[in-house]
Amino acid sequence: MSEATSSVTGEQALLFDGQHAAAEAVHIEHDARAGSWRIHRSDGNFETIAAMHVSSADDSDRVRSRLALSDGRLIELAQPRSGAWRVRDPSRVGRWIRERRNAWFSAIAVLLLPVFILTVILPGAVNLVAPRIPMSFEARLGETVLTSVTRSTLRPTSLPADVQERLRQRFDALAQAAELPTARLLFYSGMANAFALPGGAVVVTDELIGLLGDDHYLVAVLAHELGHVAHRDALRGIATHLIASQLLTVAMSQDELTTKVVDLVASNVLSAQYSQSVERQADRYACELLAKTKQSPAWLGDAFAKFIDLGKRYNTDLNSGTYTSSHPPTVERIAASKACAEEHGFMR
Amino acid sequence: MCRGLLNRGTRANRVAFWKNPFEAPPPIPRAPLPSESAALVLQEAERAPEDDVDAVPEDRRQAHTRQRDLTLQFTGDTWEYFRLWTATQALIFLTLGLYAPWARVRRTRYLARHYRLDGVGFEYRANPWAILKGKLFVYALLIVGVALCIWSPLLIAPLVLISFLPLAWLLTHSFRFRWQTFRYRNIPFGFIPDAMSIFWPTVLMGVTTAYVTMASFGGVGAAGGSWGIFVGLMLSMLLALLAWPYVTSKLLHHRFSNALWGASRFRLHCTVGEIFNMLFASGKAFYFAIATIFTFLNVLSLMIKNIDLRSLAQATAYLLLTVAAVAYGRTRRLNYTLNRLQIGNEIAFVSTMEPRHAGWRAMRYGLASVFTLGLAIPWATIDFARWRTENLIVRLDGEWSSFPAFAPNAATKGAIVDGLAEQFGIEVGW
Ligand SMILES: [Zn+2]
Repeated sequence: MSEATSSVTGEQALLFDGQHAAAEAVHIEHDARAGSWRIHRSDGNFETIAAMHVSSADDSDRVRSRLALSDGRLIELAQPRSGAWRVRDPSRVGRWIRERRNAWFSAIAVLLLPVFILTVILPGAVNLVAPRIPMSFEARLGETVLTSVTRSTLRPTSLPADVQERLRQRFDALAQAAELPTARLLFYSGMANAFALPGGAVVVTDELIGLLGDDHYLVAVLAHELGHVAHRDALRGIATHLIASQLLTVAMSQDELTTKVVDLVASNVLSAQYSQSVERQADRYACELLAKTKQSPAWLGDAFAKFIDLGKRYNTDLNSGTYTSSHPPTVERIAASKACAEEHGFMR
Repeated sequence: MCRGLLNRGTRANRVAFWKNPFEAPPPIPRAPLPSESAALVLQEAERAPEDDVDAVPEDRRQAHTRQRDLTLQFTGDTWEYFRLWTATQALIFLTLGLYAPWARVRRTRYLARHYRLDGVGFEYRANPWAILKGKLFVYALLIVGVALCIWSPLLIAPLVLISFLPLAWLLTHSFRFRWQTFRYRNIPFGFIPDAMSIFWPTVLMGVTTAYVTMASFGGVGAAGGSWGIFVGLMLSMLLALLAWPYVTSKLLHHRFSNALWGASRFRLHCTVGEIFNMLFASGKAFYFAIATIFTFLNVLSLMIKNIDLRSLAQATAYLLLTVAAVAYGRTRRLNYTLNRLQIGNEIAFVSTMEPRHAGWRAMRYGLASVFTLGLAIPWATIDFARWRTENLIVRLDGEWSSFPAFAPNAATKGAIVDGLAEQFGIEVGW
């Protein structure tokens, strides 16, 4: 090539005028020194276009370069760009993507950032917002949740009135010691379960009462639920779930079926991790509350041990309403309960 | 001329017309052999299932003499797209989602440019700021809506219903926005919004959704005890199984039949009823297989002792099989529609994507994505794009010069409503 010494390079290209879909074969020259472009038309004429009227940015090395002219015309080169033709995306993101080894940093960030967001940023945001939500609103939310749950999974209780009265007295004594005026106990029939609602209502099922047998165990379980009431965990849980699911929808907002699968599995696994710390807190709270009311914190551990015995038959969880279990391993919780009992001098 | 002839020869050999594997293949019309009587051949022809809805229509099986098959390629590179995808995804996480519109523009631009038809790539131009504004507006509305629903659960059903009233308008403008952001050979696509034509279908969708919401809140059928709940559930399932396919078919029809390329109108040679009917005409075997596998996996999962792991395994199986079933249904419908689509009088399509393969593909992509925590998504995207181009033929009858531009060019309008429409979870892209 005789142009080797000059700054001008030329190439075949297609010109689309934007008036109709046909392409005109042109020869285009780029003067790197002047920064201008010259288009040799098929009729033998040529036009010179200053750099300011040409824009182009590619994020791929394999695609043919395109020049968009400010008058709406478009030029596509016959070859993938090379040498002087390279008009690379000058933005910071564009440069980052071009560098091959950066892919590893990006990939690691994609794996770690969601964990960081869901375990640090999200609870932080909820901690910031939850205390500012008025109690009256939380109570409303609790009623909404209860209506939905009673309609779908709970039936009226068939517990004798005297048993109800006896358990309610023990619950009220606990709530008083915990200084939780909004806490109240509700009896229903359904799967063996106990859970705290937003606004302070604690629901316990006849089936769980029957399963635990002894009042001691039930009191320990109720103390755990009061821990959820004290920390407003139900409200936090709902807020966390709402924000997390919206965040994931935004992060994965592409029309791909696969992303929906990843989305759901990821949110399940990660939010379970978050709620384990909430359960540990409630266990700790129950231990302190039981000790404060001169009752053995070891009862909670005994109740868990009872679940393990029966666990093979009943999928029981001291859960706050979610169906995929998100509690720490039961053995670990029993050990923690025993340790707490010893700490407070309740040795059996 | 020479090139056109060559193309026709090579492409025709590659086209494999797929059929329902559980039905006998339709006999190919032929002349009688010397030893056969003409009546035998006629009999054979009569056995040909005329109502095989999945087959490519007779007039599209072979190119007319004036038509030429255009080469369609996807030239994107998996690793290159992986770099682009991970970088933009990391930025989405870093900005808590605010970067999402820019990521969408960058990714779509890459994919569009690598779809090369007749040697020329497509182009995607959208303003990320407009998309972001739309998203923020949607979030403001959502927060108000959620707060209202918590304040009074009685408001949920009416709110759902009300939110569906402007949906027809939102969707048509969303379609317009999406079409307008693409161009080919420097001619933008376009769309003529006709909200009235989809108003009643979207209201039907609203009623169904409101009903299902109410049913899940126990408001319907609670009076009749558990029996009433059962009847309510069956009713809502029936509604969802019929109403959703109908409405989405209507939207698909609308999306194609009102589209433009420059001044050339898209023409769809089938009715909504035909699209809807074809969904139920065959494919029972596939759905039966999916249901069987699901039951089998569920029984198998009972062997997992750990309750957490078991429920995770069950959820994953359920999701993957749903994804497969949806991909299967969608692919059949898309084939059916594309095979009856024309742009102007000059461009026709032949789509031969095998629906069962689409189903298994979707499942494979889903599984790979789960096990790589999402990192396989770029691979799945590129792999699917290649498969799609291998199974789509575009035929041109005439010259490119016969496609003029359309004068009024209202670009990137409708970005806000695009964000709104997206929130309804309706498939607006393709
Ligand atoms: Zn708990």
